[in-house]
Amino acid sequence: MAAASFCSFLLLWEGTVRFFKIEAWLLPAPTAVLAALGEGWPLFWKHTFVTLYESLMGFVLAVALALALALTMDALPLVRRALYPLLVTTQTIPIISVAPLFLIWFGYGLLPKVLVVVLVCFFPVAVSLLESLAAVDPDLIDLLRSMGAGRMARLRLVKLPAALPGLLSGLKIAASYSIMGAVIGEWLGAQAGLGYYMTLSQRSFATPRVFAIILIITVLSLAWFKVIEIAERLIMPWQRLRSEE
Amino acid sequence: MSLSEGEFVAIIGPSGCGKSTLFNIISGLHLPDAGKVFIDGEDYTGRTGRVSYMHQKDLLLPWRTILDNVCLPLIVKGLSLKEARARARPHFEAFGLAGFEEHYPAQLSGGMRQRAALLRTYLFASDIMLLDEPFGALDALTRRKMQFWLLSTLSRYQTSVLLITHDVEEALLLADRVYVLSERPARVKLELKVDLPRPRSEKTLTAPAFVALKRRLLEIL
Repeated sequence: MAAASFCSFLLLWEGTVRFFKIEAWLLPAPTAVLAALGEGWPLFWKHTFVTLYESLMGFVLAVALALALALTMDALPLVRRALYPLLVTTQTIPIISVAPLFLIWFGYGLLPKVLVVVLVCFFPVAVSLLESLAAVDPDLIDLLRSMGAGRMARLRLVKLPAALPGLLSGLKIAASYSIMGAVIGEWLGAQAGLGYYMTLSQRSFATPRVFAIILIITVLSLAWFKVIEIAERLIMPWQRLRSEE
Repeated sequence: MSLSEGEFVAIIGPSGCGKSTLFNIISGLHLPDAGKVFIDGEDYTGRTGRVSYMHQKDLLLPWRTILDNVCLPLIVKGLSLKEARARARPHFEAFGLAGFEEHYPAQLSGGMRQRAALLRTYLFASDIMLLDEPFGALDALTRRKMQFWLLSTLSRYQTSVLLITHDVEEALLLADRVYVLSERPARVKLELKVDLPRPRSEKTLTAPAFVALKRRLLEIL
């Protein structure tokens, strides 16, 4: 169904552009976008690689930080109470207003882009893990305690596996955000990457190229999402059993 | 309150009278305001890891197979997974779970899941088991079947059992003795010896002695 409606949307788009003879710099037809993609292929690939690298670095860093913080906050209620409101507050700061500061502080290199990705990805992972650790059935914890299991054993045997589905849904959101984060970082100042190439193309009114870049960003984000989804299925075979019932 | 070796004692009381709290205290999860827990003459107040505790919910871990679920207490005790599995496997036959070792809990019926939970409880501490309404979540037919199964299984093991239940028939069918608790604050209202002959069967449920005991319990509740 989704594929059919998407295809008819593309056809309508193509038809409208051709029928009204809309200029390509205003609104390129889907075929024109594909043509632009085919022509500039090596250049697109080069910028895509840069963006992919930044988003991967940022993602890994964000996940590592989020895991460390969430586990600490879960183990120490005092830290949780002290940091949780702060964590939420950081999310209300618009990225777009902080990113230029990164530029001032860290220059035009790789670091500020990676930092934007970290900022975007950190929150969904930390919060989803924190919430799912807190949501573990207290009767299960009591069962383990009655067996004489210590804090580490409870974490390893019950809390972490129980929190895994929640963590993975956080990872899925973070993964699909990570490309966007890198692009925003590049937008504000870079020498390479899809965001940089997009601003460049926009300024020269190479609109088909802009659309081609949007297409690449969308496909990359979806692919990222899919990768985590496949990992999810591999790590948690029991989840599939439940949905089969 | 006391529980002798190999004895089966049931506790009946109105809901909210603190039966589960009593189990939390015996298992060492909670500290009592007053009183102490002695096991074999030793003070176990506030110490976990001595008696096994089975909840009304089966509390099986959905990400572990039945075999690995049942192994959980052995792993907590420090056995390797391989040793734990070897220890648990021989019991699957007696607990009616043979052939389901590699299944996940989601693939089992409610009755089988409770049996798995009971096996896990048994593997943790086979001498003293606390059963908190173990069949409370099952339908009436399955529950009756499970009661008879528990009767025949326990007759083969030397286990002391404390059972919390709402079900007068369940208490009389399974137990050697019954404690009846009062409303909050809970006191022991009645201690009743169930001197019905063993082995017990469906016929026990309609025996005049059983009916007389049942009437007595229902009157006081």
